[in-house]
Parts: sequence; structure tokens; C-alpha cells
Amino acid sequence: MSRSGRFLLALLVAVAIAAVGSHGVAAWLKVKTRAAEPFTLGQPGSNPPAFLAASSVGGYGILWDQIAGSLDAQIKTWGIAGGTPIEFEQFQKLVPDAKTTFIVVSTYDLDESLHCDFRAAIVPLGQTIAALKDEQADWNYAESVLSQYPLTWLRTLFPTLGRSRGLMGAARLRLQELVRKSAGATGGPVGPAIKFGKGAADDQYTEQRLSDWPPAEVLNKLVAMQVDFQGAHSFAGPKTRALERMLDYAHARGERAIVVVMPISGPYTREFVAPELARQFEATLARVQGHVPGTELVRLDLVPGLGVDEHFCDLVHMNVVGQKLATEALAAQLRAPAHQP
Amino acid sequence: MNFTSYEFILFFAAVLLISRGLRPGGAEKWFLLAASCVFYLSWSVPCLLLILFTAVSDYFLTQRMGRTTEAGARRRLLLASLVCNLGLLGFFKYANFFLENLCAALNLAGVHAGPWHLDLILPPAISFYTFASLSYVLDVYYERIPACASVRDYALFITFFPKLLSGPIVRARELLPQFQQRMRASAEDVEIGVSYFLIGAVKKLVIADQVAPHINLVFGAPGQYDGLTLVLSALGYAVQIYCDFSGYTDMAIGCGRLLGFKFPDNFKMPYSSENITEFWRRWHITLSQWFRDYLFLPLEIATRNNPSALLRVSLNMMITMLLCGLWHGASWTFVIWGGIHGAALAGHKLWTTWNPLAALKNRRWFPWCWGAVARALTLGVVVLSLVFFRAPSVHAAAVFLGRAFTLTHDGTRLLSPYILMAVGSVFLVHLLVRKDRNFAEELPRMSLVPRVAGYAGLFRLLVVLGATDSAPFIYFQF
Repeated sequence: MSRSGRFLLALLVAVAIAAVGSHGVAAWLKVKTRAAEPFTLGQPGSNPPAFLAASSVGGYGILWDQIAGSLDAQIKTWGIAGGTPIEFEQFQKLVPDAKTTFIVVSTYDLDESLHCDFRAAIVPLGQTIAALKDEQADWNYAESVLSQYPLTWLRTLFPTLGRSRGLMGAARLRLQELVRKSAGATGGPVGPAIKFGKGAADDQYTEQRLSDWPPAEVLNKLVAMQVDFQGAHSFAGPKTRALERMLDYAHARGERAIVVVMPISGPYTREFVAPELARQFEATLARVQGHVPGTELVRLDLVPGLGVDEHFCDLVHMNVVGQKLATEALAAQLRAPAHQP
Repeated sequence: MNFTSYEFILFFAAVLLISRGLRPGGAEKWFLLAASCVFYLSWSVPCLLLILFTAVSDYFLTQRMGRTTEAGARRRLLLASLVCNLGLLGFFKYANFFLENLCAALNLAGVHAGPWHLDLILPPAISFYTFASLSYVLDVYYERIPACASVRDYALFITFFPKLLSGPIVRARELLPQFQQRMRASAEDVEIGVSYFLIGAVKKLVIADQVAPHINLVFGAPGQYDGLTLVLSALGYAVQIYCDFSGYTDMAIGCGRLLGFKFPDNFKMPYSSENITEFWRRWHITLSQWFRDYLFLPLEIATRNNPSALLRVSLNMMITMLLCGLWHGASWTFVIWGGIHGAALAGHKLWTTWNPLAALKNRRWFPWCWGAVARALTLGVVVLSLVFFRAPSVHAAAVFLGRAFTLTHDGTRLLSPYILMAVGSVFLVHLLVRKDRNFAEELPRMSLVPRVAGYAGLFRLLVVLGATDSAPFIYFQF
């Protein structure tokens, strides 16, 4: 065999070994490789189903089973880690009989500098290119969005590609779990995962309180988050546009559209949501509400005492106490006369 | 276009395919020149004119220099080139530094002035291509090489994209002959090129980019952290800058090799050095050789009548390193960094002259013990200097070092596992692996099984531990 042939063979075998290793690591650490997982919450009721668009912030923050019960309707949704209106827009049409649409937003997941890791697996490339053209997006933003597509294709072969920080965190927790098991203790969850409608009482992760974290742990998390942001923080961009399109769609079909605004922890807000950005967020919400008449805005972020650090299990997700309070607050607001259809 | 971006991979794949399809010589060189311009355009559109101006002006000046034997005329041409090159570098890189300091000095003297600031952009790679061009002009002036006969070849030498942004600073006498006697990349060159590129990508994406966020955080506000965190961050930065810069040059050497061009090595296990002189033979080798050949040695010749050799060498080393610091950036932190290295080099010269431990050299335990102490001392000096190199201001560096040296408990302890792992693995490799080994060259020459294991290991590191978003290379700012 020629030198080039031997080199090609060596390279191919090396790639194959790396791919097997990558799949092995992904399986061991239970890396989420499925872009969207369908969930149906609540029992079939007398009312038509509702559609829910919520990332883990909304998934953790609200007991949607209880909301489904109070609506006397099932809630259909898809679990998308870091999902935003851009991704959920693709699923809205899959619930044609919905009469209510919940869209959960926050200063975290409506931030344009944060991309959903599964965007390229959900939104067709052509649609993304068209959206970038419409937005007249600058090259840096377009590059960060478009580079997700080759990454997604390569992840077929190497599911761990581009997920190193999550992997290292998961590995650390997995090792801790193994140590606990070998010591006879029962293992807890290895980190946050979207568990719509599931009671959170059994979930050790959601029992912790951000207010109990040592400052170094908070800093570590903030650094890890900083890495995820690409470009400037903003609330005026493709995510907001997708949110408006979802509301347009709901309005055109005569659906009740409810935008739920979740609170985010103090350390996150202080680090990433400057006062000017907070004003932009308010302006965006006002524009969204004005965009489609009849859009109901539920401001859980303004409920007194709800957004304190004692009610968060990490920088953006609510813990069991916060979840209970937020669910009660949402249910109460839905029952309020102003929110009655 | 960053070397670790998808667009660069696509761009480079296209360049590689098209250049292999072209006949070596004219068409291929025009194509490579065009590709280099496209690469530079991706960084800056207006500054392309500046780099082309440097290339064309130096080409014509050296052409005239080559045609005349009159010493005065040659000196005038050299002076014109120096004024042109250093003038542009000085204006774009140091004008604001000069104005700020002038303003501060005037205010100190009681004359109200400023603040003065020119709205300038720093042309990408200006420090690197200016030095490459200067070395060529000086070599032609001293008749070490003939003037390049082709403006295309010279423009390609200056703009050649694999080494354009951050080196290695390839000399004209190393690269121009490769353009003139163009050889295709052999199968071995291709494999060595891939090997260099993969090793460089691992250094950059798996180590440098993973520790960068924590280092940035700590250096951004050193007053908030305890002493142990600061010590670990200083060591972490030493690892980050080594992996970032040597990773970049490995990728540059790999790209060049894939196209059939050989660039000199720029790093050779620098943290295994036993003294600061050895460190500079292993760290940013092409820059240290540039300063040696075009600044230090001319200074030595100019001051050869000075009766004290030790004082003369020490002063010349200090001048060289201060200017080397200033080359890195227009800030006092870089000058202090250079000053520390200049003082350390002079100190080492004094030590070797004095040689106080000569009596112990024959003891069996001496080489091992002294080797460990010398390495630790050298690393200590390098890490100390790097605090100034990285800190945003002299004050921030002083706060950093003050807290680190006292190992203060006051402040947050942020022990990042990434930094611990990176520092541990890089220093362990420097400690255990023989200094002159070069895995990028060795791997392709091994038998099939270790080669497969080596490539698989590199791929696995990249796909499991590679950073999600690559940060810009540190040396791009220079």
C-alpha cells in the first residue's frame, strides 16, 4: 500500500475509533442527543388541548400538570433544551386543535445572544437563511447561527462534539453519583433536565437553593454561562420576531395566547441584564403585546417575593418552592377576570 | 477567518484543491496571492491596501538597492524602507500610546493638555508583516540574499496567509527560495501537515480555550480573589498563552506544509527550560531570532569598544527586551514584561560568568537538584512576567502580585478544575517528555498502530473536550 493509502487508512480508523468513543461517552453521561421530546400533560378534559412553548426555565418554573387540571384540558408540548420561540414555532402547527397557546419567556431565553443547541436540528437551513436575510443580520451573528448546521451534521458521527463544558460537568456529577453508590447511598439526578409535568419532590437538583451556594460556585456558573453567549445581549431580533409570528398564528386561528414571563435569579440579572437591557426587555414585551390584540401577558417576574434567590435551584431555574409559588401565581392570574377568555 | 472556524476549513480545502490542480509556478502563485488577499480581506478590507503598499514599496526599494553598489545610495534606500515600515507601524500602533504619555507628562509639568486620542484601527498582523519585510530589506542591504526578482513572489511572501496573522516570522531567505523552486507537497508532507494541524487544534481548543473564561474573570478583577486563586490563575495563563500561541503556529505550520511549504518551528517545550536564555531559544523562536539578528547583534557590534563586556551585553539585552516588549503592544505592562526578561537575561549572563556553584558540579546529586531548582526559577520568572503581560494595567498587575505573593485568604477562592487539569497536564508533559521531541514530525513516521492510536487520541480529545466556541487567538492583537 502506498504512503498516502496507509495515511488515509490510519485517519479513517482513527476517526472511527473517535466516533465510537464519542458515542460511548455520550451514552455513559446520558448526553441529550434528541432535539425535541414530545410531552402530553394532564388528563383529557372537556376543553380542547393547549400548546405550550417553554424551555427548561418554564418547564422547571411551573407545574404544568396542575395548570392543565385547572384548564380542564391537556397541554401538548415538546421538551427542547434551551428552546426559544425560533424552535417552538416549528411545533406550533403540530397541535392544530389547540385553543390556548402558552409561550414562556424570560430575560434568559429571549436573549438573542444565546442560541439553542438544537436549533439546526429543528429549523431547516433554508428557513434560517431566509430569516437571517430578513433580519439583515450581521456576519458574526449569521456565522454563529449557520455554524450550528455543520456542527449538527458532524454530531451524527460525534455526539459529544461542541458539548465539552456540559460533558465535564456531567462527568463530575456522574463520578460523584458512582462514589455515593459505592458508599451505599442512592444516586441523585446528574443535572437539570426538562421534566414537564413531573412532580419535582423527588428531584434532588430542584431542592437546592441558590442562596445557599458558595460565591465561587456562583462565579463558576456565571463563567460557564458567559461562554455560551455569542455576541451582544439584545432582545430585539429573530427570537422576538418568531414570538410575534407564533402570536400571529394563534390569533389567526382564534386561539387564546398567553405569554408568561418568568423571573430569573439575582446573580444572573446583575451580571447579564444591564439596566439598559432591562428597559429593552420591557419595550419588547410592550411591543409584543401590542403586536397582536388580545395577547395576555402574565408577569410572574413582577410577583413580589417570587424572584428571590431562595426560590432558584441554579442561576435561571426555579426550585421546588419557587415552582410551587410560581404555579399558584400563574393559576391565580389565569383565574383573574382580566384573563378569562 | 479563524483557523478553527468552519469557514477557514472550507476556504483552506478549496485553496488546497485548486492549488493542486494548477501547474506549480506562475498560475499557482498568482492564485495563492489572491487567496492570501481574500484571507486578509476577511479580517480587514481597508488595511489590505496598507499591506500591499508595504510589499510593493519594499520590493521596488530593494530592486534599486540590488542594482546599485554605491554605499550612500544603498543606505538612503534602506533608510527610506525603515522610515516607511517603522513609520507605519509606529503611527498605527504607538501614536495613541505616545499621545497619552505626552499628555500625562505635560499635565505632570503643570501644563494642562489633552486628553488626545486618534481614532485609529490597528491593521491586523502589522507587527508580523513589518518584521518579515524589514528582515528582507536588511538582508538585501547586507547582501545576505539577492533582491527578489518578482513582485508577485515578494507580495506572496509578505501576505502568505498561513503565517500572515501571527507568524511564525518566516525570513525571506527561508520562504522565497521555496516559491522560486516550487515543490509539490509529498505524501509525507501532507501527513506531517495534518499532524501539526491536529496537535495545534488540540492545544487551542482543548486547553487554551477551556481555561480562558476563568483566567479572564480573575485577571479582570484580581482584588476579588484570594491568593491561591491568583497563583493558580497566573500558572493557568502561562499554560493558556503557550497553548494558544503554539497551537496557532502549529496550525500555521501544518497549513503551510499541506501546501508544500516548510516553516520553522516556533516553540520547543519552553517550560522545560533550565534558564531564561534557554527559554528564549524555545519560546517564540522566530521572534527571538529576529531580535537577536537585527537588533541585539548590531547593538553588540556598535558597542564593541565598550571595555566591560558584561555591562555591554547586559545593557544590549535590556534594550532588546524592552523593545521586544513594546513590539507586543503599546502599553507599559508590555514594557515591564520586556524589562523583567531583560533583567533575567542579564542576571543569567552574570551568573554564568560568576559560576558560583562550579565546585559542586561533580557531585552526583547536583545535576538533578540544580535542574529542578533552575527549572522552577525560570518558570517563576516567566510566570511573574506574564502577569504584567496579561494584566490590563500596571496597577492591576501590582494588585494581582501583591495578593498572590501574600497568599491572602481575603477574597473568593475560585479553583477551576479546568485550570488545574490544564496546568497539571501541560507542566507534566514539559517535565517528562524529552525537550527536543516533536510529535507532529514523529507521529507520521511511526508504524501504523501507534499512528492510528495517536490520531484517534487527538480526534477523541477534540470531539469530547474541544471548546464549543473558539476564542480569538491571543497574538492576533499584536
